[in-house]
Amino acid sequence: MAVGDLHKIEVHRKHSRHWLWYVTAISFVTGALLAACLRTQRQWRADLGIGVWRPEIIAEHLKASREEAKGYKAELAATRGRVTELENTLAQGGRDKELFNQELQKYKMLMGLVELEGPGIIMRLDDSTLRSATSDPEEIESLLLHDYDLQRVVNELRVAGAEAISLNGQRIVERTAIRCVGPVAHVNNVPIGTPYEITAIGDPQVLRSGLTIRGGIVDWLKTLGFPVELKAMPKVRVPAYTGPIELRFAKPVSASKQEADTAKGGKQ
Amino acid sequence: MIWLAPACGLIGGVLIALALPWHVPIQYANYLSVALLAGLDTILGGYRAGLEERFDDHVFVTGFFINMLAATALVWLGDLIGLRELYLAAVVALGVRMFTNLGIVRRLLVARMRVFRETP
Repeated sequence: MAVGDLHKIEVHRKHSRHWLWYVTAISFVTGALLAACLRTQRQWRADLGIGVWRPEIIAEHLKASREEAKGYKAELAATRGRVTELENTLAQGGRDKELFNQELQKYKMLMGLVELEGPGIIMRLDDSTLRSATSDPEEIESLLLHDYDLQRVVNELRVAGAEAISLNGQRIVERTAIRCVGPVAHVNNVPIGTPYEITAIGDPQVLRSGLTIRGGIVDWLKTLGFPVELKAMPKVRVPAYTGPIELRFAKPVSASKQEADTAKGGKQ
Repeated sequence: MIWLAPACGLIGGVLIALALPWHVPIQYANYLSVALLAGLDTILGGYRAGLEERFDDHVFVTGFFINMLAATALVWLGDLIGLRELYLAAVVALGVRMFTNLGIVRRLLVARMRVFRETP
Protein backbone atom coordinates (compact mmCIF):
# COMPACT_ATOMS: atom_id res chain seq x y z
CA MET A 1 0.00 0.00 0.00
CA ALA A 2 1.33 3.40 -0.97
CA VAL A 3 2.07 6.01 1.66
CA GLY A 4 -0.55 8.29 0.10
CA ASP A 5 -3.23 5.68 0.62
CA LEU A 6 -2.34 5.32 4.28
CA HIS A 7 -2.67 9.06 4.66
CA LYS A 8 -6.09 8.94 3.02
CA ILE A 9 -7.21 6.27 5.44
CA GLU A 10 -5.94 8.37 8.33
CA VAL A 11 -7.96 11.39 7.12
CA HIS A 12 -10.96 9.13 6.66
CA ARG A 13 -10.65 7.79 10.20
CA LYS A 14 -10.80 11.26 11.66
CA HIS A 15 -14.24 11.74 10.19
CA SER A 16 -14.92 8.07 10.37
CA ARG A 17 -18.48 8.50 11.59
CA HIS A 18 -19.79 11.27 9.38
CA TRP A 19 -21.73 8.62 7.42
CA LEU A 20 -23.74 7.81 10.49
CA TRP A 21 -25.35 11.24 10.32
CA TYR A 22 -26.29 10.79 6.69
CA VAL A 23 -27.90 7.47 7.52
CA THR A 24 -29.68 9.06 10.48
CA ALA A 25 -31.05 11.91 8.36
CA ILE A 26 -32.35 9.51 5.71
CA SER A 27 -33.75 7.30 8.48
CA PHE A 28 -35.70 10.28 9.70
CA VAL A 29 -37.25 10.79 6.26
CA THR A 30 -38.02 7.08 5.93
CA GLY A 31 -39.54 7.15 9.40
CA ALA A 32 -41.92 9.86 8.22
CA LEU A 33 -42.78 7.69 5.23
CA LEU A 34 -43.43 4.73 7.51
CA ALA A 35 -45.76 6.89 9.56
CA ALA A 36 -47.62 7.91 6.40
CA CYS A 37 -47.99 4.21 5.50
CA LEU A 38 -49.32 3.36 8.95
CA ARG A 39 -51.71 6.26 8.83
CA THR A 40 -53.03 5.30 5.39
CA GLN A 41 -53.59 1.67 6.37
CA ARG A 42 -55.28 2.72 9.60
CA GLN A 43 -57.54 5.14 7.78
CA TRP A 44 -58.46 2.48 5.27
CA ARG A 45 -59.38 -0.03 7.93
CA ALA A 46 -61.33 2.55 9.82
CA ASP A 47 -63.25 3.41 6.62
CA LEU A 48 -64.13 -0.24 6.04
CA GLY A 49 -64.72 -0.98 9.71
CA ILE A 50 -62.30 -3.91 9.50
CA GLY A 51 -59.63 -4.38 12.14
CA VAL A 52 -57.48 -7.12 10.63
CA TRP A 53 -56.99 -7.50 6.90
CA ARG A 54 -57.59 -11.21 6.33
CA PRO A 55 -59.85 -12.97 3.81
CA GLU A 56 -61.84 -14.93 6.36
CA ILE A 57 -62.63 -11.79 8.30
CA ILE A 58 -63.68 -9.99 5.13
CA ALA A 59 -65.86 -12.98 4.27
CA GLU A 60 -67.43 -12.69 7.71
CA HIS A 61 -68.14 -9.01 7.06
CA LEU A 62 -69.62 -9.82 3.67
CA LYS A 63 -71.93 -12.38 5.25
CA ALA A 64 -73.05 -9.91 7.89
CA SER A 65 -73.66 -7.25 5.24
CA ARG A 66 -75.76 -9.68 3.19
CA GLU A 67 -77.87 -10.50 6.26
CA GLU A 68 -78.27 -6.80 6.85
CA ALA A 69 -79.32 -6.25 3.24
CA LYS A 70 -81.88 -9.03 3.57
CA GLY A 71 -83.36 -7.24 6.57
CA TYR A 72 -83.55 -3.99 4.61
CA LYS A 73 -85.27 -5.76 1.71
CA ALA A 74 -87.94 -7.12 4.03
CA GLU A 75 -88.34 -3.63 5.44
CA LEU A 76 -88.65 -2.18 1.96
CA ALA A 77 -91.31 -4.73 1.01
CA ALA A 78 -93.22 -3.88 4.19
CA THR A 79 -92.93 -0.16 3.47
CA ARG A 80 -94.19 -0.61 -0.07
CA GLY A 81 -97.13 -2.60 1.31
CA ARG A 82 -97.89 0.29 3.63
CA VAL A 83 -97.77 2.74 0.74
CA THR A 84 -100.41 0.65 -1.04
CA GLU A 85 -102.56 0.72 2.09
CA LEU A 86 -102.19 4.46 2.37
CA GLU A 87 -103.17 4.85 -1.27
CA ASN A 88 -106.24 2.76 -0.56
CA THR A 89 -107.13 4.97 2.36
CA LEU A 90 -106.66 8.00 0.18
CA ALA A 91 -108.99 6.48 -2.39
CA GLN A 92 -111.78 6.26 0.11
CA GLY A 93 -111.96 10.04 -0.10
CA GLY A 94 -113.98 10.07 -3.29
CA ARG A 95 -114.82 8.55 -6.67
CA ASP A 96 -112.11 10.43 -8.58
CA LYS A 97 -109.50 9.42 -6.11
CA GLU A 98 -110.65 5.83 -6.26
CA LEU A 99 -110.30 5.75 -10.03
CA PHE A 100 -106.92 7.36 -9.72
CA ASN A 101 -105.89 4.72 -7.21
CA GLN A 102 -107.09 1.90 -9.47
CA GLU A 103 -104.86 3.25 -12.20
CA LEU A 104 -101.99 3.54 -9.80
CA GLN A 105 -102.35 -0.04 -8.58
CA LYS A 106 -102.50 -1.25 -12.17
CA TYR A 107 -99.20 0.41 -12.99
CA LYS A 108 -97.62 -0.87 -9.83
CA MET A 109 -98.64 -4.38 -10.81
CA LEU A 110 -97.14 -3.87 -14.24
CA MET A 111 -93.95 -2.56 -12.67
CA GLY A 112 -93.65 -5.66 -10.49
CA LEU A 113 -93.89 -3.78 -7.20
CA VAL A 114 -96.78 -5.93 -5.95
CA GLU A 115 -96.76 -9.61 -5.05
CA LEU A 116 -99.05 -11.40 -7.49
CA GLU A 117 -100.80 -14.75 -7.62
CA GLY A 118 -102.70 -16.67 -10.25
CA PRO A 119 -102.59 -19.80 -12.40
CA GLY A 120 -99.25 -20.59 -13.91
CA ILE A 121 -96.30 -22.91 -13.98
CA ILE A 122 -93.29 -23.77 -11.85
CA MET A 123 -90.17 -24.95 -13.64
CA ARG A 124 -87.17 -26.48 -11.90
CA LEU A 125 -83.78 -26.63 -13.60
CA ASP A 126 -80.45 -28.00 -12.50
CA ASP A 127 -76.99 -28.59 -13.93
CA SER A 128 -76.69 -31.52 -16.28
CA THR A 129 -76.52 -35.05 -14.90
CA LEU A 130 -74.01 -35.93 -17.67
CA ARG A 131 -71.45 -33.80 -15.85
CA SER A 132 -69.93 -36.68 -13.88
CA ALA A 133 -69.36 -38.67 -17.10
CA THR A 134 -66.68 -36.29 -18.40
CA SER A 135 -63.56 -34.61 -17.08
CA ASP A 136 -62.99 -32.30 -20.04
CA PRO A 137 -63.39 -28.77 -18.59
CA GLU A 138 -64.81 -27.45 -21.86
CA GLU A 139 -67.47 -30.14 -21.89
CA ILE A 140 -68.28 -29.57 -18.22
CA GLU A 141 -68.68 -25.88 -18.99
CA SER A 142 -71.29 -26.69 -21.61
CA LEU A 143 -73.13 -28.94 -19.13
CA LEU A 144 -73.66 -26.16 -16.60
CA LEU A 145 -76.63 -23.84 -16.71
CA HIS A 146 -75.66 -20.39 -17.92
CA ASP A 147 -77.21 -16.97 -17.94
CA TYR A 148 -78.27 -17.39 -21.57
CA ASP A 149 -80.22 -20.59 -20.73
CA LEU A 150 -82.17 -18.69 -18.08
CA GLN A 151 -82.63 -15.72 -20.42
CA ARG A 152 -84.00 -18.05 -23.07
CA VAL A 153 -86.49 -19.60 -20.64
CA VAL A 154 -87.67 -16.17 -19.51
CA ASN A 155 -87.95 -15.04 -23.11
CA GLU A 156 -90.03 -18.10 -24.07
CA LEU A 157 -92.32 -17.51 -21.10
CA ARG A 158 -92.83 -13.92 -22.17
CA VAL A 159 -93.60 -15.00 -25.72
CA ALA A 160 -96.20 -17.38 -24.27
CA GLY A 161 -97.84 -14.44 -22.50
CA ALA A 162 -96.52 -14.79 -18.95
CA GLU A 163 -97.71 -11.83 -16.90
CA ALA A 164 -95.30 -12.15 -14.00
CA ILE A 165 -92.09 -14.18 -13.75
CA SER A 166 -89.71 -14.80 -10.88
CA LEU A 167 -86.43 -16.68 -10.76
CA ASN A 168 -85.47 -18.14 -7.37
CA GLY A 169 -87.64 -15.53 -5.68
CA GLN A 170 -86.29 -12.64 -7.74
CA ARG A 171 -89.01 -10.90 -9.72
CA ILE A 172 -88.17 -10.34 -13.38
CA VAL A 173 -89.03 -6.73 -14.16
CA GLU A 174 -88.30 -4.44 -17.06
CA ARG A 175 -84.92 -3.44 -15.60
CA THR A 176 -83.85 -6.96 -14.59
CA ALA A 177 -80.60 -8.36 -15.93
CA ILE A 178 -79.67 -12.04 -15.80
CA ARG A 179 -76.00 -12.79 -16.07
CA CYS A 180 -73.33 -15.10 -14.76
CA VAL A 181 -70.81 -13.74 -12.29
CA GLY A 182 -68.28 -16.47 -11.62
CA PRO A 183 -70.05 -19.70 -10.73
CA VAL A 184 -73.43 -18.15 -9.88
CA ALA A 185 -76.07 -16.25 -11.81
CA HIS A 186 -77.05 -12.76 -10.73
CA VAL A 187 -80.66 -11.62 -11.10
CA ASN A 188 -81.44 -8.05 -10.09
CA ASN A 189 -77.81 -8.01 -8.87
CA VAL A 190 -78.68 -10.71 -6.32
CA PRO A 191 -76.62 -13.91 -6.60
CA ILE A 192 -78.66 -17.08 -7.01
CA GLY A 193 -77.43 -20.64 -7.51
CA THR A 194 -78.66 -23.96 -8.82
CA PRO A 195 -81.21 -25.48 -8.67
CA TYR A 196 -83.20 -22.73 -10.38
CA GLU A 197 -86.91 -22.39 -9.85
CA ILE A 198 -88.80 -20.29 -12.30
CA THR A 199 -92.35 -19.29 -11.45
CA ALA A 200 -94.61 -17.67 -14.03
CA ILE A 201 -98.22 -16.51 -13.95
CA GLY A 202 -100.21 -16.97 -17.15
CA ASP A 203 -102.26 -19.57 -18.96
CA PRO A 204 -100.62 -22.79 -17.70
CA GLN A 205 -101.29 -24.75 -20.89
CA VAL A 206 -99.95 -22.01 -23.15
CA LEU A 207 -96.89 -21.49 -20.98
CA ARG A 208 -96.18 -25.18 -20.89
CA SER A 209 -96.55 -25.71 -24.62
CA GLY A 210 -94.39 -22.63 -25.26
CA LEU A 211 -91.57 -24.23 -23.34
CA THR A 212 -92.02 -27.84 -24.45
CA ILE A 213 -92.54 -27.16 -28.16
CA ARG A 214 -90.48 -29.45 -30.40
CA GLY A 215 -86.99 -28.03 -30.80
CA GLY A 216 -87.76 -25.57 -28.04
CA ILE A 217 -85.84 -24.79 -24.90
CA VAL A 218 -86.94 -27.78 -22.82
CA ASP A 219 -86.20 -30.16 -25.71
CA TRP A 220 -82.73 -28.67 -26.03
CA LEU A 221 -82.00 -28.80 -22.31
CA LYS A 222 -83.18 -32.38 -22.02
CA THR A 223 -80.91 -33.50 -24.88
CA LEU A 224 -77.96 -32.19 -22.91
CA GLY A 225 -79.07 -34.05 -19.80
CA PHE A 226 -80.32 -31.10 -17.78
CA PRO A 227 -83.06 -32.25 -15.38
CA VAL A 228 -86.13 -30.21 -16.22
CA GLU A 229 -89.27 -30.37 -14.13
CA LEU A 230 -92.32 -28.51 -15.33
CA LYS A 231 -95.56 -28.31 -13.41
CA ALA A 232 -98.77 -26.52 -14.29
CA MET A 233 -100.35 -25.09 -11.15
CA PRO A 234 -103.81 -23.69 -10.45
CA LYS A 235 -102.22 -21.07 -8.21
CA VAL A 236 -98.66 -19.78 -8.00
CA ARG A 237 -97.23 -16.75 -6.23
CA VAL A 238 -94.70 -14.36 -7.68
CA PRO A 239 -92.98 -12.05 -5.18
CA ALA A 240 -92.62 -8.30 -5.58
CA TYR A 241 -89.50 -6.67 -6.94
CA THR A 242 -87.38 -5.23 -4.11
CA GLY A 243 -84.54 -3.63 -6.05
CA PRO A 244 -84.09 0.09 -6.68
CA ILE A 245 -86.80 1.80 -8.75
CA GLU A 246 -85.40 5.33 -8.92
CA LEU A 247 -84.71 6.83 -12.33
CA ARG A 248 -81.52 8.84 -12.16
CA PHE A 249 -81.09 9.80 -15.80
CA ALA A 250 -84.33 9.30 -17.70
CA LYS A 251 -86.89 12.11 -17.65
CA PRO A 252 -90.24 12.35 -19.40
CA VAL A 253 -90.18 14.55 -22.51
CA SER A 254 -92.16 17.70 -21.68
CA ALA A 255 -95.44 18.24 -23.53
CA SER A 256 -94.35 21.46 -25.29
CA LYS A 257 -91.21 19.81 -26.63
CA GLN A 258 -93.22 16.85 -27.85
CA GLU A 259 -95.49 19.17 -29.85
CA ALA A 260 -92.49 20.99 -31.28
CA ASP A 261 -90.99 17.72 -32.40
CA THR A 262 -94.24 16.66 -34.02
CA ALA A 263 -94.48 20.00 -35.84
CA LYS A 264 -90.93 19.66 -37.10
CA GLY A 265 -91.65 16.12 -38.24
CA GLY A 266 -94.74 17.34 -40.05
CA LYS A 267 -92.87 19.97 -42.05
CA GLN A 268 -90.28 17.59 -43.37
CA MET B 1 -24.49 3.87 21.66
CA ILE B 2 -23.79 6.14 18.73
CA TRP B 3 -24.54 3.19 16.44
CA LEU B 4 -28.21 3.50 17.39
CA ALA B 5 -28.52 7.03 15.99
CA PRO B 6 -30.26 5.91 12.73
CA ALA B 7 -32.83 3.90 14.71
CA CYS B 8 -33.54 6.98 16.82
CA GLY B 9 -33.88 9.00 13.61
CA LEU B 10 -36.39 6.46 12.27
CA ILE B 11 -38.45 6.57 15.46
CA GLY B 12 -38.26 10.38 15.56
CA GLY B 13 -39.49 10.55 11.94
CA VAL B 14 -42.42 8.26 12.74
CA LEU B 15 -43.40 10.28 15.80
CA ILE B 16 -43.23 13.63 14.04
CA ALA B 17 -45.13 12.42 10.95
CA LEU B 18 -47.79 10.79 13.10
CA ALA B 19 -48.33 14.13 14.80
CA LEU B 20 -48.89 15.81 11.42
CA PRO B 21 -52.31 15.45 9.77
CA TRP B 22 -50.94 13.66 6.68
CA HIS B 23 -53.09 11.26 4.77
CA VAL B 24 -52.46 9.48 1.47
CA PRO B 25 -55.38 8.33 -0.72
CA ILE B 26 -55.79 4.58 -0.60
CA GLN B 27 -55.09 4.04 -4.32
CA TYR B 28 -51.52 5.21 -3.70
CA ALA B 29 -50.99 2.94 -0.66
CA ASN B 30 -49.09 0.41 -2.79
CA TYR B 31 -46.72 3.08 -4.08
CA LEU B 32 -46.10 4.37 -0.59
CA SER B 33 -45.39 0.92 0.84
CA VAL B 34 -42.91 0.05 -1.90
CA ALA B 35 -41.22 3.45 -1.54
CA LEU B 36 -40.92 2.77 2.18
CA LEU B 37 -39.24 -0.58 1.50
CA ALA B 38 -36.81 1.13 -0.87
CA GLY B 39 -36.02 3.67 1.86
CA LEU B 40 -35.38 0.99 4.48
CA ASP B 41 -33.20 -0.89 2.03
CA THR B 42 -31.13 2.24 1.34
CA ILE B 43 -30.65 2.84 5.06
CA LEU B 44 -29.39 -0.69 5.66
CA GLY B 45 -27.17 -0.49 2.59
CA GLY B 46 -25.71 2.80 3.78
CA TYR B 47 -25.17 1.46 7.28
CA ARG B 48 -23.34 -1.55 5.91
CA ALA B 49 -21.19 0.61 3.64
CA GLY B 50 -20.35 2.85 6.60
CA LEU B 51 -19.24 -0.09 8.73
CA GLU B 52 -17.19 -1.40 5.83
CA GLU B 53 -15.60 2.05 5.51
CA ARG B 54 -16.54 2.52 1.91
CA PHE B 55 -19.41 4.94 2.49
CA ASP B 56 -19.89 7.58 -0.18
CA ASP B 57 -22.36 10.33 0.62
CA HIS B 58 -23.23 11.00 -3.03
CA VAL B 59 -23.87 7.35 -3.76
CA PHE B 60 -25.98 7.11 -0.62
CA VAL B 61 -28.21 10.13 -1.17
CA THR B 62 -28.73 9.48 -4.89
CA GLY B 63 -29.36 5.82 -4.07
CA PHE B 64 -32.11 6.79 -1.67
CA PHE B 65 -34.04 8.83 -4.20
CA ILE B 66 -33.35 6.70 -7.26
CA ASN B 67 -34.28 3.43 -5.50
CA MET B 68 -37.48 4.97 -4.27
CA LEU B 69 -38.38 6.34 -7.68
CA ALA B 70 -37.51 3.08 -9.43
CA ALA B 71 -39.58 1.04 -6.98
CA THR B 72 -42.65 3.26 -7.34
CA ALA B 73 -42.13 3.37 -11.12
CA LEU B 74 -42.29 -0.43 -11.15
CA VAL B 75 -45.61 -0.38 -9.30
CA TRP B 76 -46.88 2.27 -11.68
CA LEU B 77 -45.81 0.21 -14.68
CA GLY B 78 -47.61 -2.80 -13.22
CA ASP B 79 -50.80 -0.77 -12.89
CA LEU B 80 -50.35 0.57 -16.40
CA ILE B 81 -49.95 -2.78 -18.18
CA GLY B 82 -52.52 -4.55 -16.00
CA LEU B 83 -49.94 -6.66 -14.17
CA ARG B 84 -50.73 -5.51 -10.66
CA GLU B 85 -48.48 -8.17 -9.14
CA LEU B 86 -45.39 -6.52 -10.62
CA TYR B 87 -44.89 -4.71 -7.31
CA LEU B 88 -44.00 -8.11 -5.87
CA ALA B 89 -40.79 -7.97 -7.91
CA ALA B 90 -39.74 -4.84 -6.02
CA VAL B 91 -40.88 -6.29 -2.69
CA VAL B 92 -38.94 -9.52 -3.16
CA ALA B 93 -35.78 -7.86 -4.49
CA LEU B 94 -35.72 -5.24 -1.72
CA GLY B 95 -36.68 -7.74 0.96
CA VAL B 96 -33.89 -10.16 0.07
CA ARG B 97 -31.36 -7.34 -0.04
CA MET B 98 -32.51 -5.99 3.31
CA PHE B 99 -31.96 -9.34 4.99
CA THR B 100 -28.53 -9.75 3.40
CA ASN B 101 -27.48 -6.28 4.51
CA LEU B 102 -28.92 -6.78 7.97
CA GLY B 103 -26.87 -9.95 8.38
CA ILE B 104 -23.68 -8.23 7.30
CA VAL B 105 -24.35 -5.23 9.56
CA ARG B 106 -24.90 -7.57 12.48
CA ARG B 107 -21.64 -9.39 11.84
CA LEU B 108 -19.68 -6.17 11.50
CA LEU B 109 -21.15 -4.71 14.68
CA VAL B 110 -20.42 -7.87 16.65
CA ALA B 111 -16.83 -7.85 15.34
CA ARG B 112 -16.42 -4.23 16.41
CA MET B 113 -17.80 -4.90 19.88
CA ARG B 114 -15.37 -7.75 20.26
CA VAL B 115 -12.42 -5.54 19.30
CA PHE B 116 -13.69 -2.83 21.65
CA ARG B 117 -13.91 -5.25 24.57
CA GLU B 118 -10.62 -6.96 23.94
CA THR B 119 -8.57 -3.76 23.66
CA PRO B 120 -7.40 -2.78 27.14
